[in-house]
Amino acid sequence: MAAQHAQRAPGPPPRASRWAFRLYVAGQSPRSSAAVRNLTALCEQHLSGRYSIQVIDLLKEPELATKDQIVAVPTLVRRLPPPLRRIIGDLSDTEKVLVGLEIQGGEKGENR
Amino acid sequence: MNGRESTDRELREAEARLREAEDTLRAIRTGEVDAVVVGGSEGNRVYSLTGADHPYRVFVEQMTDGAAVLDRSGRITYANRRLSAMAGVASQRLVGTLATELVAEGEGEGLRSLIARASEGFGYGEFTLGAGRSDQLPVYVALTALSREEGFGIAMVVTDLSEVKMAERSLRTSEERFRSIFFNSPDLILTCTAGGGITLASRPAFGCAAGELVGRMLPEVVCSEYAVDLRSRLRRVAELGAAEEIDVRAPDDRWWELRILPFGGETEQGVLVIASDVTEKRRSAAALRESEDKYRSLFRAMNEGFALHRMIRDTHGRAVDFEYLEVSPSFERVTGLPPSAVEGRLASELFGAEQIPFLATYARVEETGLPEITTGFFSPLSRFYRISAFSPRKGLVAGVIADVSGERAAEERIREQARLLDLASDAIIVRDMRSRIRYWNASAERKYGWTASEAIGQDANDLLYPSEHRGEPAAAIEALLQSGEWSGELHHVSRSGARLVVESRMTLIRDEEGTPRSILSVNTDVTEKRTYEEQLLRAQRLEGLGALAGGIAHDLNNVLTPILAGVEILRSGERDETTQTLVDFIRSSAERGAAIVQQVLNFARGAKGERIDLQLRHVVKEIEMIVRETFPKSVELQVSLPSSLWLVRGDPTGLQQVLMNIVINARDAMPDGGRLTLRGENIDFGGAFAREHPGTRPVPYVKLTIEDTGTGIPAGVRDKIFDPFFTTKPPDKGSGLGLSISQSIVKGHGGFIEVASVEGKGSRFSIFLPASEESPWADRDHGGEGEPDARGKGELILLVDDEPAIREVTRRILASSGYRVIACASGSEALEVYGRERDSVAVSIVDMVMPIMDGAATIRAIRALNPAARIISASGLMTEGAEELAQLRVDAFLLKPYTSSALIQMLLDVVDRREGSTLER
Repeated sequence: MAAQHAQRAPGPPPRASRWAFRLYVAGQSPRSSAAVRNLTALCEQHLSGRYSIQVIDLLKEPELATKDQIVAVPTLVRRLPPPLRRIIGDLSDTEKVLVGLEIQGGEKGENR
Repeated sequence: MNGRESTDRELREAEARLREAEDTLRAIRTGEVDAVVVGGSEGNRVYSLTGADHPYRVFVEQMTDGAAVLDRSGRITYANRRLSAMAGVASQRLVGTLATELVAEGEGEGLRSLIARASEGFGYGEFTLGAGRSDQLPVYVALTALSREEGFGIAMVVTDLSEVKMAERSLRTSEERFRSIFFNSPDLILTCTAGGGITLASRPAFGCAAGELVGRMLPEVVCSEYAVDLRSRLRRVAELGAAEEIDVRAPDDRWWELRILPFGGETEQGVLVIASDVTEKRRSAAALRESEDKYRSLFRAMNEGFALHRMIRDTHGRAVDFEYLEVSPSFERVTGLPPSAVEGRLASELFGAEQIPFLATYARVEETGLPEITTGFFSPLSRFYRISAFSPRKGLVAGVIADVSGERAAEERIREQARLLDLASDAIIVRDMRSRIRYWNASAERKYGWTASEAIGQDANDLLYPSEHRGEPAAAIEALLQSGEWSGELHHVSRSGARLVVESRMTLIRDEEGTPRSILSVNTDVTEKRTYEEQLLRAQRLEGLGALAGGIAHDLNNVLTPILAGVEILRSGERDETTQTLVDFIRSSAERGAAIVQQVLNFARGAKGERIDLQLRHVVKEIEMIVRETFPKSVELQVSLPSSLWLVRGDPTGLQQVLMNIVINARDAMPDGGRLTLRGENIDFGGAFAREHPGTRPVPYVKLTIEDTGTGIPAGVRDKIFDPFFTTKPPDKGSGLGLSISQSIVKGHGGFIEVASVEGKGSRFSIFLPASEESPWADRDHGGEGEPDARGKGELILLVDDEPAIREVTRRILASSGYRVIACASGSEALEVYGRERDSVAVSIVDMVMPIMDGAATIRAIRALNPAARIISASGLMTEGAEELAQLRVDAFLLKPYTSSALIQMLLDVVDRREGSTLER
């Protein structure tokens, strides 16, 4: 039952044409820097040419945290494709990030 | 329903928030984040975690959950605003109170022990906030020990459960239900993370207890062989939500079918893996596939055609047609019809409703389910087929079809050849090297009297040979083995014991390796042929003797003729009585001598004496008279001759002699007396008798039987008694010609003699003579000879004979009978005389047998001088040159030796004919 329910749950289209991320960071803190690095690498690898990343430094613009109710930094918010997904941390566990963002394992092979 | 749905949604949202808060806390704890955002009245502030605990506090104040720090005794040292709101106690008042005082009555102790436990690590539990208040709040309390730097306190997070409590209960019920299904499933059910980590296992598997499985990676546990594939599949299912299946082989060599289903909530996608042990299934499937492969290749390679049909029956259940469902590729080879032209078609479409192949057989097989094999000619394709029909299930019938036209033709040929062998008149026998009969044709059945079924398997040496000498001659076997062939005469015996003389041609038959396998013999029955050959040989021998005897007789005739003629002259002279008696004696002796010579000649030439229709009774009467007068009184004579006896056409003298010879033999066989029986009867043989007795004709016969009670004829001499000069009598008693002459005479009459004899009991001679074509009942007497009393009237007679004695005697007879005679010793002399005396010569008497110019030449020469010349030819040989005589158109034929009266009578006849038309004779 649970499986069937999950199957019917709305997920991102398998081949979303456009991915939009917003990454909240706190200046050059170690985790923030790692998060930027990890996200860029991951996107290049799996979503090359189809993604955009907006990095928001809350040290400079703290008021922007309200919009996505950010409490911890770094936090990654996937804005596209819907629904909104957030991942807290420096994104070093690639596996977990891919799953969390619902980036399919097969996206990598799309460059053929 | 709506209420339920909204509750579900709220529950999920609450859970999500809870999880998010936990995630955030965990992230902070594990150092995955290094900054927090704290919102306040002056706006958001970002605090780096690298600073003091202030940021925590800011963060804690922002939490939607209640949070507090307890000392080890459980006293609250700090509480956030949310907790004070939840507990309904001002935050200033909260600090310093015991956490246990916040919870409902009866729960304090539980919380206290939880706090005690948490001081060593962590603890959690459900409690009810708001002691003594009506609006009690169900909460979830999580306690975590703080480190030394954190002042050895306990962090407490209190989550409001009021919204979720109700939903959770129903959730638990359903969870229990699922859990029971989960753990009782015969399949192994696993939940895994998308990465393959096992989070739950329904039962032990892969050699691990259920608990041991949890935490391990499924791809590694199942099989390293499939690990990569499996890992990517798990991830794909988790990400795409589409179920997948894969068969994998576990390290224990068992096969598992894994059904991977997406599973999980919105935040964390995992997979549900249902694993079934399909080892047995696979094994049987593999076996099935293997056997199917085998049969499929057989199906393709088989020589026979295969066709699967669906039977079509009419409303009465009668089979009327069938559809070709499937045919093998070889079907085309057998029928010439490609599968594409046949499959899916009805037999009636292909061949016409009247020509549905083997419909009756197929219908029966389909109905009974019992397989059948049938062979038949299928005219639309002009082939012979052998069909093995079987019904795989009701409604279907399959046929394995072999084209046996070739076999059929070969069989036909063999059968034809066998028929030919049966038609052969020769006995054809095949036996193996151990002499066992293997083949026995129809002719062998006829010849030997054994049927093929009786003969086959028997030992040829036992079956074919008389018991006294078994087996093939050793020489035959030796020749066979050496040259492969042998032919010769064998003496076999038939079933009835009859001896068979066969001309046998044997051939050794070898197999391909040259080993002798069997002996083929073709046996021609020559039993009859041998009998004929023996008879022929005897006849030839007799003929030789006859020629010899003929020559002697001729000479004897020439000796006797002057004696007889001279005696006539002497008789006519005046003599004293003694002389007269002597002359008569000489005359009768000479006449007897002439008669004997005549008999020899009769025998030698098979000569026909004067033939008349005669009644045998008269002949027998004369014999009877002689017997009664001359035979000893101890011989009793019985004569039985019916007056109805048919006439025979024959020579009375010859037949009398035959009877005389046999009767004398009978007398000699009965030295001590006995009974002699003469019997006559009419016999009408059918055609069968004539066929079995060569030389006889299918006409009525008169049979004369002469039977004695004498010594009989010894078996050893029985087949020699008719041989000339064979005799059992002392030399002075018999010539050995008697029976031989008798047989010759009887044969000359178209008859034959049968002999039966039992040693010591007697003999029986049966003489068969063809009945005359004249009226069978006529009793005609044969006339006696007339006495010559006439004389010539001085006519000139030309006498030609090289024998001086005959010439002189004849000349004298003629002269004393009133004729003038010119006697010549040779043909040339006669011609000289005739040339001179042509007109005077009344009759010429010419001896046929003369040196240099013979009688015939002389007669021709005389005719050349005078075509109307009267000529009498004379010879001792009656049949010699009979045709020539006819050509010569002589007026009469004078048989030597002749009496003077016979000569004069003939001359008178010829001269008398002077008035008649001589040319026409």
